[in-house]
Amino acid sequence: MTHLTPAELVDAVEHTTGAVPHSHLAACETCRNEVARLRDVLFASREIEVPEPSPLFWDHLSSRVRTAIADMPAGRIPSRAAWLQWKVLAPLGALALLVLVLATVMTRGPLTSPLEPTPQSANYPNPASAASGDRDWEVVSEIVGSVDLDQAHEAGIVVGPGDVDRAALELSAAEQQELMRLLKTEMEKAGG
Amino acid sequence: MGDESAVGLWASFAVAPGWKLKVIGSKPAAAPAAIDDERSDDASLVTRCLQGERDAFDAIVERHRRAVYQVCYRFVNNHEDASDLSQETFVRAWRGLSRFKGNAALSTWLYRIAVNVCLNRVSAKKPETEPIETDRFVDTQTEDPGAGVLRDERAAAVRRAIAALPEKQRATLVLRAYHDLSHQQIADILGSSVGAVKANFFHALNNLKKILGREP
Repeated sequence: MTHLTPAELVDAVEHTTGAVPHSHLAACETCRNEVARLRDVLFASREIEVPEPSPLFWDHLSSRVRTAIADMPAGRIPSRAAWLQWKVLAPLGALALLVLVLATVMTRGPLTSPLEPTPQSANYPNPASAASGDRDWEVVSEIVGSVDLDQAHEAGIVVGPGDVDRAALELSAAEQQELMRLLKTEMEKAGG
Repeated sequence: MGDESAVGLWASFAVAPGWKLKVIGSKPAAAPAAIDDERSDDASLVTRCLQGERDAFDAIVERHRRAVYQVCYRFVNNHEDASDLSQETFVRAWRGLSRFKGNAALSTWLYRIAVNVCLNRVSAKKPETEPIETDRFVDTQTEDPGAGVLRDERAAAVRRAIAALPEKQRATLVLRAYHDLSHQQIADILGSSVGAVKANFFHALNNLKKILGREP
């Protein structure tokens, strides 16, 4: 014979037993004794009362709660958007800015001051004059000759990280060979 | 809530000497209309609180302080700690009031906070299991002094036994036996299932019996 489960025994103790457990109880003395035993314990525990505190206590408790709430930093009900307060947003904003700066620095490599030209760049000849003998450079210099860096930047002509590499990869084999030849020629001229 | 019927059927017992039980009637459940009124009153108080009316929270405290205090007392068995825990319960309720969705009764939500506050406390600190209020007035005109002493000793033993129960069993016993919450409400408060609540209740009673059996 399968006896009642703990949940069924609890139902029996609380007089909410279903039909099947009820018929089992009628036939099973073990389960009947178990239910009676549990009821004894439940009754014993229910007899324990909480002593009634002094009548003054309730107002004292209310007063303590009121004071504790008044002493809280904000002193008002936290709104649903409490997490949007500046105390939370300021550190988060600072952290986001720090991450952004670090990401930019790590992507671009070491920073160099644009005001201090490197020795190599200082020795470079004027591209316009160096290319004067070259037909392609003449076309380019004719187009951009009067445009300075600030104007180019304002026009949206900006070289981003990886742009040069991507452009080089898009060149055909013949164009890459020509680029190599031009770079070698320019480097030889720069080397003197 | 299919389990709500248990509340109405919750029997009250009278016991004769020798621990024989006799069912003498059913505890009347609160009328549904009264429960609805209470819930709508609570809901309007919460709304007023969220609109910035501090007096509305005072009204919530006044309405629920006794029940909250009694839950806390059942856990710690002394007035001072129960008083502190009640205060902490209401302060936490104030902080979290904007998160109260109104799906459950405010009282159930407050019970949940109180139980969590109490469980945190009893985990951190072993409660005093012998309350200072156990000395009850014995009317020698109508009661045999010896019987009163025995009853008090028995009550103290039961308190010690309840205090020795595992936390979830104790919480289940307190909410079910003393506050008449349904198994479903207890499951909501403790974050478990109705089956788990019934199992905890069974084990609580079973362990209580064992502990009391070991009492001298």
